[in-house]
Amino acid sequence: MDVAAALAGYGDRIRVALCDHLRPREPRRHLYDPAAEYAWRGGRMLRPSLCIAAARCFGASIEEAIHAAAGIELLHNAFLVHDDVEDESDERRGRPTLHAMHGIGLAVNAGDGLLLLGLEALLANRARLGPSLTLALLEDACRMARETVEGQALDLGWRRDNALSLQDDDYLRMVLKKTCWYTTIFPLRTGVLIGTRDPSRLDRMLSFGFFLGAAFQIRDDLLNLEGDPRRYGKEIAGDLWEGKRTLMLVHFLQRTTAAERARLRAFLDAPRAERSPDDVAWLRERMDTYGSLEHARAVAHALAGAAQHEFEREFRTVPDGPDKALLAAMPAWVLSRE
Amino acid sequence: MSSSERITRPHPRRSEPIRTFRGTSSEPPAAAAAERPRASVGEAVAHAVDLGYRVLDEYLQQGQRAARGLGLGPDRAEAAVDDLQALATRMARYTSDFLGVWAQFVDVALSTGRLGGAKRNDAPPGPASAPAPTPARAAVAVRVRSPQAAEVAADLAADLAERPLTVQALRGADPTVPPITGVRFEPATAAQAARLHVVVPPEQAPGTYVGVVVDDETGRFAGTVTVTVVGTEG
Amino acid sequence: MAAAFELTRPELAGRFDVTVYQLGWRLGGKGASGRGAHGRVEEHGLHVWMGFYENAFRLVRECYAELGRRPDRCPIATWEDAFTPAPHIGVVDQTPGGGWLPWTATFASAPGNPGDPLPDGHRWTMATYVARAIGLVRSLLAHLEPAAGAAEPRGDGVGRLLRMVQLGQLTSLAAVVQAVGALETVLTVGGVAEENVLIGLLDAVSAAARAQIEARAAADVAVSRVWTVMDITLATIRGILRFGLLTHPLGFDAIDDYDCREWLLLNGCSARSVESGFLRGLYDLGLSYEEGDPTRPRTSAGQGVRSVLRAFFTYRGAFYWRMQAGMGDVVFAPLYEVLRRRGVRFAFFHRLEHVRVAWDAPSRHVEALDFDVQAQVVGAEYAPLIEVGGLPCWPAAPDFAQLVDGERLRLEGWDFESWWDTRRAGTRTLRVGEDFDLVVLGVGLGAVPHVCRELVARDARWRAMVDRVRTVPSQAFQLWLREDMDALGWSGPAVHLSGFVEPFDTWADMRHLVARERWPEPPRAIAYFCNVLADLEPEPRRTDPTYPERARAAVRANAVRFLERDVRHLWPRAVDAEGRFRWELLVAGTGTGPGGAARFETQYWNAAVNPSDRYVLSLPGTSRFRISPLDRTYDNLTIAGDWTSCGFNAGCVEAAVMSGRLAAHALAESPPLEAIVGYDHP
Repeated sequence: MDVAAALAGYGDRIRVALCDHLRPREPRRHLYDPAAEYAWRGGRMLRPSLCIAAARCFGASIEEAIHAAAGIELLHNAFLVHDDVEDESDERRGRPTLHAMHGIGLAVNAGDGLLLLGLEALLANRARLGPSLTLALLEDACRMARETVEGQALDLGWRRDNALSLQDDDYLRMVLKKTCWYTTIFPLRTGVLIGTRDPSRLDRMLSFGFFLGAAFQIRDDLLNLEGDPRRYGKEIAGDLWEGKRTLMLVHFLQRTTAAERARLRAFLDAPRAERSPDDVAWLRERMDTYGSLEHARAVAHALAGAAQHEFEREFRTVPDGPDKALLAAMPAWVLSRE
Repeated sequence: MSSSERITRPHPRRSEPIRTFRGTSSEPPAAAAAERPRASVGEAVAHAVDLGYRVLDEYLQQGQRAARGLGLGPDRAEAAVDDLQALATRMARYTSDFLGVWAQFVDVALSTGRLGGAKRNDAPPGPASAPAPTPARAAVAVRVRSPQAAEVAADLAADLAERPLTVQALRGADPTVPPITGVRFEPATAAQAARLHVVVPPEQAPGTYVGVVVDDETGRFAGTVTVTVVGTEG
Repeated sequence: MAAAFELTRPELAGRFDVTVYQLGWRLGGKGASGRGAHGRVEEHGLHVWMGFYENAFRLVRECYAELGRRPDRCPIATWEDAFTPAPHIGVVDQTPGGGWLPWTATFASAPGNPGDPLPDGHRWTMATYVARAIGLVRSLLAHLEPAAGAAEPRGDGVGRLLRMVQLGQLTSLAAVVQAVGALETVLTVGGVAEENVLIGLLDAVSAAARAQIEARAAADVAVSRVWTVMDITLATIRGILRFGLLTHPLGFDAIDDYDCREWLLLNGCSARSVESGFLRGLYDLGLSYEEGDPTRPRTSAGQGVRSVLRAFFTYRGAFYWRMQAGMGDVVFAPLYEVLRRRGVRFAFFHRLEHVRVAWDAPSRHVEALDFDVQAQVVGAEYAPLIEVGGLPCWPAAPDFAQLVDGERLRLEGWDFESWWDTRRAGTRTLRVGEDFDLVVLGVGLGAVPHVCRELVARDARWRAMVDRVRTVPSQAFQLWLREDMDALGWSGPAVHLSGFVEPFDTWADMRHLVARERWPEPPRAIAYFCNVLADLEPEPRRTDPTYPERARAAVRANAVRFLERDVRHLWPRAVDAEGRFRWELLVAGTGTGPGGAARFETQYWNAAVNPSDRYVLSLPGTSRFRISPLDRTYDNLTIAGDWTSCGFNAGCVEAAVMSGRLAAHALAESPPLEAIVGYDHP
């Protein structure tokens, strides 16, 4: 299974749909052009592709899923814009972040605009899917959004309060809400809902989505530390600069000596601008010493294995086909991507 | 004496029984999933998978508690069910349940009037045509072409009779049975009432088929069409 | 004992060096028994082994296999000698007129034996239970339905009652039978898809069945009994569906907060069925009476339903199994011999007084154990067993000849098992790293607040456990009778019967033990009775040495009153023409013995009031307060007993063995959790 090719295939269809939702209109310069910026920077269209593949697994056509898929990508872009502001990130998809280009005010507003565009895209399903199913999709989108902001609150709260006594399960709980819901669980649920029209059994996607999403996030965080800057598209080690509570940091936190803890506390307490390259290098070196990256890699593998298991359980009665094959290949792909 | 010198208990992988559906299978997935990575990367990772399942279970339980708090009852709180196959067979029922909710939704949202049309074709196989039974509200005539006895019910919003409508494929309970696609809506004109043309193929399996009517221009829901194929001996 | 057995398995190649510190002279705790005068068996209480006690039977079977007793030398050489099927059980219904009507039934034998390896791919699922339950409803209905029922009324027991049913007048039940059959198919073949649809279907079936049967049931005892079982079963199925238990991550624990009867009522069970002998019998089995008060039946719906479903639908061989001698003789003596052979040391006459925890250590652990040494043993080792009829048994009293100064202790009446008798010959403290590394705490829950007072004071979870998980004392008496059961007016096979009038609601016919005992003139019948006992005082003080004797006096009075007033409902000919209990029926051993009620003195009775002997209840909402043997808060301590969170949280042998195996797992990671049958269970 060539996952990249399959994603590219769906990506083209989704981009066509996005053209409609992101068509140039006034005010262009201060709203719609910046709002469309991330979408046109490329990206794998992972989330909308999951949605389409799941929908097709359960008998829907690509047309029936395309608006929902576009909506998912737009909501994702909205979250990215806000995330970048909240995380004080400098780079996204190889270029400056939106707020770095246009200032925080316009960036936040463009993010809000993207949220609305995303909801509109979901609403556009009414014609084809009917109001009831559309309503169900919107309800689920609300739930996803709630889970996501709650997860983001956890993450930001830990940084703000400089939480140092975190455990692996704290991390997984945060990732479930902050990442998995909108990256994997919601796209899968949306697809299943469109395919089956049955809102009562969506939680079956929870396990697969959670393990897949968690493996994805850990892999993403690893890439942040050791990826190829040209291919990764975000600043390397940006997470260290931001003091982001990644699994690697949580692992290190559990093992620090008193002296290391003091230094780490001071580092994390300081505003980002005052953190020094020396400290970042030290942190990275400590993580290497304690095998934190090794640990995270191993955990990502384990979670991907669990995702595989859950997939086989939930999809065993779905007839074989390219979409099932794509979903089946996701856990391995998540680990191999660079 | 310090703990490093003492002999201590190993850390248990879990300390509660698995009472979930998952865990009661002969191959507990928590263990099964843990086994593969465990062999290669050791204890910590098996622990991670275990943690993953625990976080998930805890999360599901929270949801169920919340649902109970809202008075939804535990059966509304969605939970994983073993049998995906059952989904397919339940689809038709869900569709028709849905249509009911849908119609209410439309009522509330659009505040439109209603108009109904129904036709039971008990005649011997062959083309048939009759006006809707209640002339006062009748704006739809149903024409059925079916070699088998078939019952047709249409539920359409009144103010839509003159609009171009599309009837989507009518689907049955069994997903492997092809849907009825030969249903066409002919809008009312000054000269004649709206017409619904239903063509049931000779090989169509007996059963109830439900489809949605959509306004071509506005994309709004316009109603439903239900065809019950009774079978040739009827 | 189960933990010791697991930890010393040959497969573990001697990794563990085990010493058992035991109060008094015998093993077994609540399950201990002793041989008294004429070799008579004297039990702490009445014990039954149920056909689903997979772990307990496995332990016993492995133990006998390893023991390798020779059948020509020992009357109980194999586990099959030790346990025999007891398919006859009974409950007692109260009639509107105030009388008591026994209702006995015979359970068909089920394939296999408890403790057999489970088939590959075996799983415990809620759906299977629901399907089995609906199958039961169908077969009960089929007996009431004329076409099926009249053609082949089933064997004895239920069948005997069913033959009395006027089948011809229930013709329209045929439709109900069909509907239930359909429901069964849905549940077994179609998966467990749609709770709401199933509930609707079930409600329709229940309503039809109720309409057909309930009116007739009022007039016909036999129909009424069948209806009771059906009504309870239907309510259980409905509850499982309504409460979303089919897929609930907590399994039956999701309804732990409800009382069993309350939960059945919530799910549409009629009040009559809830008050029936059938359901009271189930409560009696678990001694499920809050504070030992027979008017306050309470037990967790979660554990209750789990127990009942396992009991009815997963037994193998027989529903009950009867021990062919005292529990000490058939279970703990063989265990003692096997463990001894494996090199386990037994330190008898050690009373645990205090478990000391290192609170300030980086990792909390047990640092010392303080014991009272109750008596010094003459020689190297105390030999605890005696032979009765070729069978190694525990005596009802210690062998004072093996104790230093034994004759004096005997004359002074030292009671080594009484919590109130604090006399001792010395003290002994075991220290971590020197005398032990790891601890399995196997005392009864009632003793925990005393021996673990520090733990309870400082650890909120332990405190919550001893506060919430309640215990009750129990009472029991045993009769040896001159006439057999037929002569006393009870015909039919030996039965185990519950749901009877308080204070002794449970009776077991133990006639099979006559051959095991050594009477100059053997009795013709033996009967055991038991029940819970209310505490005489809320918190009896240890400094009050009269307490156990007062409790015994209370039990004696209860027993005498029971024989004089109530036993006639079971044994109509045990009373004379004036309706007085015939005291001369009691076998007095040698000599003529006293007459009248004083003759009861010659029988055996017991008030199980020692803290460690108290019975553990499964009250609603308490399961979550139990602590698991797997809990590792203290890094060298685990716990064992039927009071722990062991997956099957009920006071029984099976729970104790599961808990022991969990404790072994906690120390050795063996046996694997998956091998503890029924641990992972809804």
